[in-house]
Amino acid sequence: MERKFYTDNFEQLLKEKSDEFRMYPSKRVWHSIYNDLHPGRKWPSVAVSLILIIALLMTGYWNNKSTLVTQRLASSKNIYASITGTPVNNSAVPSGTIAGAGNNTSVVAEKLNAANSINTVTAQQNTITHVSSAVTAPATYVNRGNPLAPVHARRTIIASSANTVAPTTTNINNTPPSAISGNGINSELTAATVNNNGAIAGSNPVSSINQNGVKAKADATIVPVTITATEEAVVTLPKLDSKENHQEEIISVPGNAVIKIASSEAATTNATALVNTNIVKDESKAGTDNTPSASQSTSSGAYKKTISADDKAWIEDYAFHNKSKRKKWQDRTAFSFYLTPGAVFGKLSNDAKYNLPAASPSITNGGGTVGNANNAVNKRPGLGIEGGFSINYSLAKKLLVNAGIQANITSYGINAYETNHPVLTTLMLIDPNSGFPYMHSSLSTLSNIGGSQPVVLHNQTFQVSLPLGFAFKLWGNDKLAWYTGATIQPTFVAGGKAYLISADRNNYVADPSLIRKWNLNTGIESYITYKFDGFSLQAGPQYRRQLMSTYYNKYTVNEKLSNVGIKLGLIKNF
Amino acid sequence: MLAGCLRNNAASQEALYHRFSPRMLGVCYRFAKNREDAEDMLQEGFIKVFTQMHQYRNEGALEGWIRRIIVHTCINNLKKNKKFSDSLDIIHANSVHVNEEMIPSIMQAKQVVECIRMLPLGYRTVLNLYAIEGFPHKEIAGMLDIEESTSRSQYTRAKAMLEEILIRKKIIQKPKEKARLVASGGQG
Repeated sequence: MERKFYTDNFEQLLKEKSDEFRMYPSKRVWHSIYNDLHPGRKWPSVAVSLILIIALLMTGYWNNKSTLVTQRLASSKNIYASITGTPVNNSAVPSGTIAGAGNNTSVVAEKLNAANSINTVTAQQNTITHVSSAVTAPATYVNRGNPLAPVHARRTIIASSANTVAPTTTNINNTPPSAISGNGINSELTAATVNNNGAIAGSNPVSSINQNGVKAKADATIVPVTITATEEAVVTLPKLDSKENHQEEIISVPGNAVIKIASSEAATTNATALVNTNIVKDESKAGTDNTPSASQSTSSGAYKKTISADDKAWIEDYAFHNKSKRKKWQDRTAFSFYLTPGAVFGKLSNDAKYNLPAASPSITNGGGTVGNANNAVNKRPGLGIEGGFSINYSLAKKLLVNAGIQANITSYGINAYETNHPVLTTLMLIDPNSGFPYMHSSLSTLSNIGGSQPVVLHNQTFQVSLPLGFAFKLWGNDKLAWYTGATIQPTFVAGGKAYLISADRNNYVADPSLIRKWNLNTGIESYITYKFDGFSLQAGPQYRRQLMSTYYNKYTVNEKLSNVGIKLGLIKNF
Repeated sequence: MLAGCLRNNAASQEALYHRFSPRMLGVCYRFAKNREDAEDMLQEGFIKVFTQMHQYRNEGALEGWIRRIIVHTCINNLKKNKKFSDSLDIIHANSVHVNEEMIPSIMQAKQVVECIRMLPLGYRTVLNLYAIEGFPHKEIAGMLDIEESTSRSQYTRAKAMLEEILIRKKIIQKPKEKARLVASGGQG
């Protein structure tokens, strides 16, 4: 009975605690779901991404051209201000009003409103106009059920003047000026507080943390003609009441500009400095677990993961007592058995300096010399076959490397003639010591120019290779996947048949001793896999190319083989 | 939101996803080998949810309907990618050393889930389905292609092992002395 009570509680406990457990998936999951459900809408995001990338590159390019920027600013100083922010529990949306003195002012102000849309306000040439409104995904994990929301703020101030080191001051809310002055380089100031509405106000030079736990930091770098200041603030915003939030920010650069951002979308400005302010949401915790805990519920809401000593001990104990029965590499590894029937093509080439004077006009290559060996030999594709196995290891979700061993039989045909009587012919070889060619005489009954009866000669090789390569997954779902890959294949040639064209291109000589023992091949392939019952079927075209001549270098004609085939395979996971 | 999902409205789908995905990922995590696999299961499951939304008849809680699809997706994934029958082997329960010194501790959901995930795959799956998801053994047997008696025995072993682990981790007290749990904030 007691045991039953315990058991009931035990199962209840499991259910309750399991139901309490929540994890927040990464954005990738939703993006994948969205793309799957709305395949036609992928393009806009791609196009927008491209535009953004190009815009960023161009911005970076122009900003790096300091001389041009300086010159431009010397004659036309601009103010740029943009604010983006995390929605703070129904807070009102501040928008921008710019005021100042100067010429050619350009101001852009952005801030997220409570509905998670971005209002963009742009002012150029003394005018602010409402430009656009875009929607972004809400940072639901930041504000849900918690009155405190972390906000990361960054402000960059750039002011420039020509040829002089201009003293520069940053005022925020008309508090005592935070000075960036003098001729120092890399000056640093720490300033700013955040008012009750979460707007950045400031004081200088002391960093301060107000009652809302706000801290801001500003760094300034002064160079003779350009001044750049960057403020960074990690802001924990309080839950705001329903009152209209009138956020106001004043940034001034003495003698140059005053920027005032207030709750109006239309304003005029004459500012003459460049100011950039950003408040961006803290996404550093995206995709992390968010199980409520006592410590979190009383914290500032920044879900910082810490591992206590107890947790660490527990994890270590967990790892010790629960070693995985399957090693990680086993999950990533698979065997592949394959067979590739295909067609083999042989291509000959020779150095023209070893061509002989033509004895027969029918096989000349112009100029009265014996022509290109490839043209002289009447070839026909032959059957080749490849079989082997490899081990595939997944380096990443879409990338796997493979290594294995395979056997290849290559064969292509040569249309020739058989003669009734052997004739004396020569192969042109190169002395490896001196590098000079010499003639090697042989008797042959195989003719290239005519004989008693036609015959097909088969140049064959029997190869063993060790293919090493990779494959990249281009597309896939649960059942089907499409890969492309390449291999490099050190090859040992165990033997074969070699019918070599003579120096005068009139005859063939059988001499397999000239076949190179070690060679190198490469292969490219594209294939589709289909999963079933723990296996995968593989099928797709493959192209294999021999990188070195079939024959030793001392033979003056090079032969390189190509195989085109269909690779059929069976893949089995460990 | 449901109407929007039925119209394949992306905003409604996203709202539904954000509402249920944290809990459903927790479900997947209990079945999966790691977080990445769990997210794959979640993704596949939610695609099924959205594509089969027209089959939901408002007869029960939406969460329960979604959860059922997610669980079946997890099981199908396990059956597809693992030697599932091999995972129903007997684990050496005595490999978990029990510390006699019982100290009450605050129980966290994550701890319990991690303890469940310590179980061998077969045990874990049966325990998840029976004790947490509430499937009867007969249905579990059908889902996993095993005998009903196998499901029962697997659950018994799984529960015994999980008890050992929870005791070892000082999450629950040993039942012989006092048959009660040391839950959150519980006294020793």
